[in-house]
Amino acid sequence: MTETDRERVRHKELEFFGEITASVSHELNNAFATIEQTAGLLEDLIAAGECEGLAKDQLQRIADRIGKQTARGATIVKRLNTFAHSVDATEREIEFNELAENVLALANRFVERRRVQLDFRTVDERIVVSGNLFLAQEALFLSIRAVVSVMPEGSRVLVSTEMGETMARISVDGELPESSPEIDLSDIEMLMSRLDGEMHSGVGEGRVFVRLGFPRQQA
Amino acid sequence: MSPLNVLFVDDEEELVSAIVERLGYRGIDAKYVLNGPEALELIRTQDIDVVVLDLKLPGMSGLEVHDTIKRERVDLPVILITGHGAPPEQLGLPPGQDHMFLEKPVALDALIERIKEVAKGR
Repeated sequence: MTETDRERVRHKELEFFGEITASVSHELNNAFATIEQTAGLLEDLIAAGECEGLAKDQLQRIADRIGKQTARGATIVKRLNTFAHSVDATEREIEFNELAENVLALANRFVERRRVQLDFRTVDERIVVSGNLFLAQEALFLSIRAVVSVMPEGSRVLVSTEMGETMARISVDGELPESSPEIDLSDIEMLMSRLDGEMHSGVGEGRVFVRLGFPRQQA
Repeated sequence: MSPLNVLFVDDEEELVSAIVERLGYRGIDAKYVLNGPEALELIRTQDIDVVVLDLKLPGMSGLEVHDTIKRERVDLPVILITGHGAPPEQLGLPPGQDHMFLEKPVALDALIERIKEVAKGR
């Protein structure tokens, strides 16, 4: 790898980190804003002298809303913390379900904006590979984004896992209308090569898919 | 003087419904929708004085909604709500226009001040 390539890789990693933290902080901002306005609403009711006449269910609704948004904030912080710690080790166990769940949650805002439904299907068997968790997250995130970006509103994208003989795979599949633009997957290809894995993809004939393969751990 | 009719467009329902209720206590008649197509429908059929529009919307983006409003009702003031604080050029808005921005989380007093300010110019 040349110095220019290394620079490009570093830039891409920072870009990914920035994209995720921007998206998560936006979501956190919304949770705080909702708590602030809901608390403000309660103050308004008190100031308006309506507190004595407040129905129990109205108070409960306000308390529920604050509780729900606080829990939402806590989940977001936990997810961000897990993501931040994914750079701690360059080699570690990667459990596919956890990987998929975390990345699906991180990609959620982008996916929702595109009005695409993201489904996850896993196998019963626990799939664990060894590798760089941060890069694996980046590869899966970019795969989801690439597929979702060409899907029409209201369509569904399936993320699924599969254990092959030599490779464990995680796939992102979507059904496409007849005409479909080409998608640039070169960054994912480079990431998978750094993970000693492989990438297969296809666009056309009513379908788009990206399949990431990770070498199975030797027993 | 009749109360101001303000339309909020934001997919964070719990947030926007609390704001709308609070504005009601301050003499502002506000309502909300959760997406762009519903907003455009309301603007075409009801008497709206000011639109408060979140730029990050699912489906039809806030920018698309903004552009459609400006094509159909150039005089209708639109206050844009953004989470990033980026300049208009970075958000895809044409430079040189007097865009009205507020950043989330928006303080209610600042929001009311801005709503009254843009409504005055109508």
